[in-house]
Amino acid sequence: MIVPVKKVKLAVLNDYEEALLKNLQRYGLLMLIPLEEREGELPEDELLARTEKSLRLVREYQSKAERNQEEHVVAYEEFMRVDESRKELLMKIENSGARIEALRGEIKAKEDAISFYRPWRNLPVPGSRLGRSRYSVARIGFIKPYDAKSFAQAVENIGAGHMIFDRSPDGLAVAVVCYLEDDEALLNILKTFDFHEITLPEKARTPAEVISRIEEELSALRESLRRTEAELQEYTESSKELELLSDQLKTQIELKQAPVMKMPRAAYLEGWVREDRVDALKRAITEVTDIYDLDIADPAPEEEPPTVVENKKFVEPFESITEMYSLPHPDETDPNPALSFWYLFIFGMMMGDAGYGFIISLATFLFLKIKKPKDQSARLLKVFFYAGIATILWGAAYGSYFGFTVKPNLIEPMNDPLKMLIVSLAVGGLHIITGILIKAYDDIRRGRYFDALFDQFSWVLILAGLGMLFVPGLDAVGGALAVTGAAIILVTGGRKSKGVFGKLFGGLGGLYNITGYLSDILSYSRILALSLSTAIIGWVMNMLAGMFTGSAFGYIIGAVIFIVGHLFNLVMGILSAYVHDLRLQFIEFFNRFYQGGGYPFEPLSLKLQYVDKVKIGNLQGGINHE
Amino acid sequence: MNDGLLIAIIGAALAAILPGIGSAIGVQMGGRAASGVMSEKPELFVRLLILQALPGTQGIYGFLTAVILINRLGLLGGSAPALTTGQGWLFFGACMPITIVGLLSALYQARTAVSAIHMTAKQPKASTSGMIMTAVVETYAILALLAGLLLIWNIPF
Repeated sequence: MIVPVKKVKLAVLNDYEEALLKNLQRYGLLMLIPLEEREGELPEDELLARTEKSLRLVREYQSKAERNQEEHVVAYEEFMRVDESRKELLMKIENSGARIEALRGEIKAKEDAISFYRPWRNLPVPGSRLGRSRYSVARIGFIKPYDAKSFAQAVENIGAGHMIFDRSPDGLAVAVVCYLEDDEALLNILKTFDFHEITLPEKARTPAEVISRIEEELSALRESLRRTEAELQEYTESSKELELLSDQLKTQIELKQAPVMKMPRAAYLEGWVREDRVDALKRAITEVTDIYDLDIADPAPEEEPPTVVENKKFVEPFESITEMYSLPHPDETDPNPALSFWYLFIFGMMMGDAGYGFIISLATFLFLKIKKPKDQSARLLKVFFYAGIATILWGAAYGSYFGFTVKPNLIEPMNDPLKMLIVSLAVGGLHIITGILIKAYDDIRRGRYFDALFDQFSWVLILAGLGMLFVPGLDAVGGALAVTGAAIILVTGGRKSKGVFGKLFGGLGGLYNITGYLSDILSYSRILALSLSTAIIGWVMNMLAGMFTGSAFGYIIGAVIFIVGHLFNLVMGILSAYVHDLRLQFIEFFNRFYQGGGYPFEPLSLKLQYVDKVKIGNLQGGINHE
Repeated sequence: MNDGLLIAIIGAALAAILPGIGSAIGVQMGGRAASGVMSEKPELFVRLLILQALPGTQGIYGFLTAVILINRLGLLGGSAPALTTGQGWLFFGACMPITIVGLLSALYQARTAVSAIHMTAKQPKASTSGMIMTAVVETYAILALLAGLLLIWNIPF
């Protein structure tokens, strides 16, 4: 159902502006209309960014058990209280975070140094002994590892000494030493082996000594990192405080950015309020001040009010499906009640296995109970919970339980595909007729009776009549209905065209739309295809599993095939049914009547991202708001 | 062994092979695009997985056709039916719609899926529209599947 919305113009004395806005935000009644663009950074923006960063840091050290805590509910007064201790906590966490970052940087540098020295740890001399001395030259460096043997040979041939150490990512670590006069010959040899020389920055000690010193420093650093991380671990308990601070800041930012026109003595604001909450709005204002000027009116024709959709508990989750397409326009009929029925009906037909339906419903039910997801994911899961029940019902109609057929059943897609095809197309026809009827209802509501009769009911007659042609006994009636419908369109289809020619032949053009209707109805043959796919793959899995039965080992293999096979079929079936059912709703169904293009009603309210619920308290006068 | 049966079985095999190859290539294209996006936005995993899996159904349709033909021929009971060469060609022909349309539509659907994956990377909320647009391509594979199945069920022998 779409709730009508009223336009609000409100002025109060400047002194009461802040208190009024706070109160409006508390109860979330009024959606403000932006008056002018506001720019500039608020001090809260920076604090919010810092809070979010610290929260992410704390989360890294939080165990899963700590994260899945019970609902976070706070009282309104507690939610709005500015607590300096939260800012202190934030600073402490930031300090620990900065220390951890610095320590990690140092550790990384030390580790890099160790891996630099590691290839040379067997070099028996300190770095100062490398290079030219009075009689000899000593060098260390890397060559390509596969040349080791020929390298040793070549170096020995000119009488130079060498040592071969470990392989490293840079190549094979080697040291060479020779007399000064052999240096040129050695350099030539080294060039052929792609030798690239390394110098050691630490001259006084051997590489092995350097490594052990760095390792000592490293273990000290690791120890202090561990201590700092332990410190941070203690703060994870107070992550709720940070979450509260974050939501609080977002709420303050929203309040500060509220579009209010300031005049010398008064503040003026415009907005939208739900028709059924006008009284609550008045009470929320009088709680703050008695001096105000309030004007409530229906939206003017050129104004675009926001859309408020409100449905019963059962239909509500299906709003998420419509929202994927587009939010309804505020003055059209809410498609959700019809959509919820048809979505489930067609989903059940497509999956069509009672066993699978049971698993879908059970899994979504348990997930909803245990994990308690919020918002969109909760709505999607509820849709699937109901879809599972629809699948159980259709599965019983098909007599299909995990791919096994149990009689008695109404219809069996596998053994009677032609009948199933006809049922699928008939369901499609009814689905489309529902769409046309909703359009007709909208036309009548707006006083366009001729449109409803000529453009909508005529098509209902044609589609219903064509359907009846296939029912023995009703075919004569059906033919008459279809011809009547076609005649109406032929005569009236051109009534809106200009000129005699348009009026005469507009009807033919209108009748040509029959191709569109027929191809839309044929599109419902996918119901048969998908129900067959689930049924046959399930049957094949049972057959494969059955082939192994006989020995104990065979039963185990059979059970594995049964479980894995049906799980695969279930997942692919859900995917196909979900997507193709959506397609039928969006393209075939919505095409007939749905306009969309609304924008959501987002009142000035508390911004809750982490906090699950704020106890708002009762508005004076007794309306209970949660 | 008779020629008719041979021809019919080649048809069933092609129905299982070609759309399967098409789906494998299609899913692979989607998977590569999705992995690329996930390196930046791992939280989109489920949405991307759905888009990736969409071109996978043609392989299932081909498999379905093959199984139904095998069942119709009574091979599952372990006996080889006697088919004339003409009947063999009839069954072969019945396998062709899903064999050809399944292969090609999987490839084209994969291209749409890849575009939808890229769109989802930029606008995660648009992923449902992407799913629908990708699913529209599959319509013709479904029609080919149904045409083939109706033929298999109704060819006299």
